[in-house]
Amino acid sequence: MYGKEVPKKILNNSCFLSIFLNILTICFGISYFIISIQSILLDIFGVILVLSWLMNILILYLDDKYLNKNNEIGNSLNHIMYYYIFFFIIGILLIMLSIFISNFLLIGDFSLILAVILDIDLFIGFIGIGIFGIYLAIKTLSLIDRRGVFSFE
Amino acid sequence: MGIIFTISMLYPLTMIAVILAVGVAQVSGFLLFLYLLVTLLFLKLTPKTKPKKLKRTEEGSPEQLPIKRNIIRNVVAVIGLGLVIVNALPLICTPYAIIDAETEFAEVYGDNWRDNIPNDVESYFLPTQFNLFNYFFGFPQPDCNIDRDIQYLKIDDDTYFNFDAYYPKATNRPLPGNNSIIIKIHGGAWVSGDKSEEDTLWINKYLAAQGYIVFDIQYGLLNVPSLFDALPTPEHVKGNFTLHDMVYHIGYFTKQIEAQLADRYNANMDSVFIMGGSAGGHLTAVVGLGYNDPYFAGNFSTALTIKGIIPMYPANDAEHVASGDRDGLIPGTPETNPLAYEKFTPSKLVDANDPPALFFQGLNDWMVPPSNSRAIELAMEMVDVDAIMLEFPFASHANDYITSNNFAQVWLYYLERFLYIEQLF
Repeated sequence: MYGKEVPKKILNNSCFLSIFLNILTICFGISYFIISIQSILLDIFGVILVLSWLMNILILYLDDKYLNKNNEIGNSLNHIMYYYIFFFIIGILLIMLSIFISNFLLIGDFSLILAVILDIDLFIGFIGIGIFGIYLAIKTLSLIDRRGVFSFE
Repeated sequence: MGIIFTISMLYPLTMIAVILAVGVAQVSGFLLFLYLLVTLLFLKLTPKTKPKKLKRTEEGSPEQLPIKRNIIRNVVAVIGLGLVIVNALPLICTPYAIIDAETEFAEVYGDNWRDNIPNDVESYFLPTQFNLFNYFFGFPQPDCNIDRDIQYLKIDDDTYFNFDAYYPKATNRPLPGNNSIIIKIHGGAWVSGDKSEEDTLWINKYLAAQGYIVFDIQYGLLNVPSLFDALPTPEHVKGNFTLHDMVYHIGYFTKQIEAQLADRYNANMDSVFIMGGSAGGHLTAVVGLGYNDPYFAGNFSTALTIKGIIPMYPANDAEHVASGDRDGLIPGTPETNPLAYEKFTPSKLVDANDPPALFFQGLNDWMVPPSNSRAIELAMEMVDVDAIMLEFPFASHANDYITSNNFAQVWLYYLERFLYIEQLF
């Protein structure tokens, strides 16, 4: 009994932490897109960003470890996890691509359009990872006490 | 693929791996998340256990053997985590690069070197040496004026050289650059490449926004087939050009600055910096250190005052530079033309009147090993000329290409301060 409570608590707390970090990350990110100034605050923001990504991955791992995939609802959550992993990978690749190409941008008519497209890519990649992470955490929290979905219930 | 990339980053064993290493170390922070996700995916797709095959007992009835753990899952997990840890190393080593840079700056400018920079000037610079946010999201595009493809020298109808000029937008506020001039010399193994390529674009704009007049120039390239042919190279710069010709072209440009460009761009000829990477780093060192050398007399404008040189991962040994397919870079051989080989080896060109230097060097640079830049640094220190070496663990060749990576951020922080401080001397 005690052995099953610990992983449940860990997953529960991780989900709350993930939601908090992802919301912070999204808010910071939107602020930066609106007001792009270099500040020491970006150091803190960068750490929060990395922590939020690591927390999202931790939730994916814990869900996979304790999820009962034979359960109908558990199987549905399992599919969401697959979608999130693929989206996460694509999001990171989009961000990488945006940064890579933006090093070659010139200021000019066509380049301004390209800059906007790259900013959108960056935004989608970054915001998408955060929003999907929040969704997964909320979904996990809503099912964590449901009998049969997780192996610790 | 992750294993190949990671091995390339650490020990590039073939030329392809060397080229891969140029890119991989710069994005290792992204790759570690990708490897983590892919490892997770593999673990999800791999069953946790697999039953052994049924075995028949002596009586003929099947015996159920215990289910065993799937070893493949463990192997995948170990490899995945290993890749993550190795790819985290460049980021983890960033503090060491910063400490090293601080030590170098303190040795040259004193412990309180930051006192030389007023607060209003600091407001234009990066506030910290490195931050994770800029690593993952890049820097905003700086704002400046750009004039492109201005011809400065014509050899004939098929052979001519252009430059791009990056300069600040009009402002009432004094800018840190004070209209100092930066002459950018691109790399490409003396056989390929072009002005305003790769990260030079962003750096040029960044420095121009700070008040520098950046001239990114073309010069003659030796027309031989090369591994670097993949780099965009305009046809009109290719020819049978030697290193002497390249120095002449760059020197001719300095005369154009004196004759017309300084007036046109309101550029300060009393504060000139020369900057370049790889082959451009070699030429930066040759031009900067040989500016007053009698061997190069007549090549350069006497109206310019060189305040500093910034050779990035520069080649040094002329015998190696002009070897193989590139033996046409220097006429003759080291035995028949020893003076030329000596003068195109920057470490042998150094004298006490040379300007100070700021070096960028990746410690994992297998293309132009650190021994090259260290030789130049040592030669400068021997004659009491300031030489600041910024070395980056796990950085390969040209690892400043993505300006927001962990190497380039630290580099940029110290570059802008070096440029400002040296203007004052």
